[in-house]
Amino acid sequence: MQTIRGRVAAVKWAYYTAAAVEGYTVTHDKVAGWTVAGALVPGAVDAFKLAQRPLYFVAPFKRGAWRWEIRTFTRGADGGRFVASLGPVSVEGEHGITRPSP
Amino acid sequence: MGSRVRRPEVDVLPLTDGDTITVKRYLTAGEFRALIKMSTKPLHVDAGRAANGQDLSFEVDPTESGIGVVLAYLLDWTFTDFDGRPLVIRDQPTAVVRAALEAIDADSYMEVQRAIQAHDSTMRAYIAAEKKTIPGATAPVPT
Repeated sequence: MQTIRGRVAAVKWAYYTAAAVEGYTVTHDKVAGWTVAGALVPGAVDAFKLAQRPLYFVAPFKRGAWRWEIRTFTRGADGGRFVASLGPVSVEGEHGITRPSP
Repeated sequence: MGSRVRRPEVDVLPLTDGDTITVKRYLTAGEFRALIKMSTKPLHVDAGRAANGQDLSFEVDPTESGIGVVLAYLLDWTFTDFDGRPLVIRDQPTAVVRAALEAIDADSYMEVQRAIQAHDSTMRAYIAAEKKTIPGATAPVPT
């Protein structure tokens, strides 16, 4: 099983940030495929954009970002934690993302 | 009745020297409000003056309205630094995009601003025409 852990990521709808993510774990399993669990940043969640499709989970690294299409997205009862099943990963070069401005 | 929400789409606008900028096709109401807020100075409404029908028009800041429309639309560009590395603005906070816009040379900035203002005018005209278009008629093609 592969695991990627990170702090800053985002759930994107087109060029918009639907939700900012603070702390996530992406895992890849031959049977289950890619999945992610993480925490949404309170006050940085746009309910309208989060209800749109397709959504993408985008996790930046130093000179680029990993991007997955979100297949299923489930928020926990408190609304802060989420889990999502993901499609195949693609890599963006030279265009990282950072925490969106308020 | 049509949808009042538009899908977020982008347009790539050509600049000189083979560069391009990627912009939002439309602004949402929230983005439009942010643009107006950035472009105007605070207005303190005096209820007495308003009741007397006195002028309460907005005061537009021309320096901020220019960069305001750029920040509202601009998503990405092909600009690079002296070493050929991309000047990354995509998905960056507004402060980072603004800093990059202020770091490029003045001619390049004005080229970006003119291109985006022209795009804004085109899209406003398109939206206005769309509202007047009879169903089934051909609408103008956006840039």
